[in-house]
Amino acid sequence: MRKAIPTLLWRELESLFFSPLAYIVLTLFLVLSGFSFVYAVKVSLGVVADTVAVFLGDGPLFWVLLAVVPPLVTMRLVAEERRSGTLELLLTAPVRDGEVILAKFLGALVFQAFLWAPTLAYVRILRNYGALPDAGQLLTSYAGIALCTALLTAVGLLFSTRTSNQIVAAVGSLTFNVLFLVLPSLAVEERFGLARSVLQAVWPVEHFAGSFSRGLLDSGHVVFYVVATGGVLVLAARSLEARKWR
Amino acid sequence: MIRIEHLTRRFHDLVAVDDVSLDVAEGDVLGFLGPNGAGKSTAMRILAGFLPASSGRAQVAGFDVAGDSLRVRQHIGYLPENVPLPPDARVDEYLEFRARLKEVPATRRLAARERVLQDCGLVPMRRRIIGQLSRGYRQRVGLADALISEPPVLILDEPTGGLDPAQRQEVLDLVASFRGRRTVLLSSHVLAEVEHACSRVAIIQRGRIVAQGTKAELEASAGRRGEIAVRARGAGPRLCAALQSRGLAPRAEPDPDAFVVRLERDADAAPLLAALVAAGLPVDAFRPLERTLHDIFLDLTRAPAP
Repeated sequence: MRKAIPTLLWRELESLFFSPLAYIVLTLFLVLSGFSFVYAVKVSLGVVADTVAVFLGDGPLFWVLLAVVPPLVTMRLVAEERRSGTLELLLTAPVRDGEVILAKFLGALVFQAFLWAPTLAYVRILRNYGALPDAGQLLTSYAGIALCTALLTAVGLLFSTRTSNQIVAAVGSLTFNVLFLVLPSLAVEERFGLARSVLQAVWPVEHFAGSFSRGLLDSGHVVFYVVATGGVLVLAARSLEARKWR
Repeated sequence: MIRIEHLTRRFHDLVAVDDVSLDVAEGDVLGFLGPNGAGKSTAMRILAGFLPASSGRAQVAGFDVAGDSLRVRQHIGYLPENVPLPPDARVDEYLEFRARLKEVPATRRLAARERVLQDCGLVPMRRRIIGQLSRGYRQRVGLADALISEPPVLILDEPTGGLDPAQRQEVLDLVASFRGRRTVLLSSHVLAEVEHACSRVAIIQRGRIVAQGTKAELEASAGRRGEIAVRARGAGPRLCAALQSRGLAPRAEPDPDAFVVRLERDADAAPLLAALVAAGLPVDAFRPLERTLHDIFLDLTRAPAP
């Protein structure tokens, strides 16, 4: 890794944490995750494994968070630099387009790790009441969140490279996320054939219900998220290079 | 140091840069002069590796801008038009970031930063947030950024845009001080700036280079205007009548006692002066008008579209 990536990453984190939007997103996240936790405790009727599963995988608010947060964090990453013109200064410095994309992606991920970190407090609360959540289940749940967030963050970044308007980027990637998370649930009937199998295979909700929330780590799922994230990041870098197409 | 060969850039059916060829020798300061929209910024963006050319080649410091873009970018300091800067960073933090990005070694970064802060008059502003700086200071931050890695080649797109006359002069003096030490390509639509700071001038109009050379070369090639300014203090109307009686068409100047006349031949000047003096006119100024770079610039850039 060249030195450019840590430099760019640091700058990215600075501007993420210095923007007021970061704290609005943080507040929204805390409110929604709080509700999500209360909901999880209520529906699981005191079964700790179920509380964790609902809170970190099966609950509806969990999916709202997963779909809404990455677009809000990624929308400004490239779009704002394009709008203000700083993209030109960035890309005429001796850095590769791929390095810029990777640094922005990592910055967004670090920021979201910061968002999710307080949810560990809820787990601690469960312990206070004498119930011990299973460490393996927690580990796979957070692994699932990290993998799925990484993919949706890459998608958000791709949308952000396509426009100079943050709102367009946010709405575009949010629309993608909603379709990605909802569409497979509509294609449950046999008559959808191959489309159904494909959609079911890449459906994050199913990945969580079937493995991440149950304490299982399916290598197939891991490979899917890693490859898909990498693929979308390559597309994002190509999209940044699109200015060079003649 | 900068070599451009038959460079062309099209945007759909608009030809922004049209078959431009240009050479800038090491240590030269070349003024890229043209009206707004002439293609200056596009050409500079191609050199800086932000845009590709549609055809043609360009080399900076011996590296091809298309094939070896990263190397080219390591050798240039680029100041884009309108100086886009992140509004949320502090001046010295931003320069530190740019120095790291441009691979200035850690041991030299502090010194490099202090040097550009000093050179660009930014020392009192070092802890200020860029978004709160005036236009003039933002311009200087952009210039400091371009200079921080001590690049051999500087590409400055309208470095004086939006500055007041005093700031303008400071920036131009700084650029002029690079002569012989750095290769500079500077764009402007203000002629006086280019005359002041640059050793050579290239005039661009509708994407094409219409003239290039030193100021003296351009003026010599353009020839003389064949016009003479005459003034007779306190005797404007009489002077006018005298000029008309010799078959000339005096053109009024802002000074009511002064007129400009066009002569067919330079040799007509001396007899005209003698005649005016003989007629008892108090002639106190009689001056052939040089064809200035300004006239050349206006003539070339006003030329009707082909």
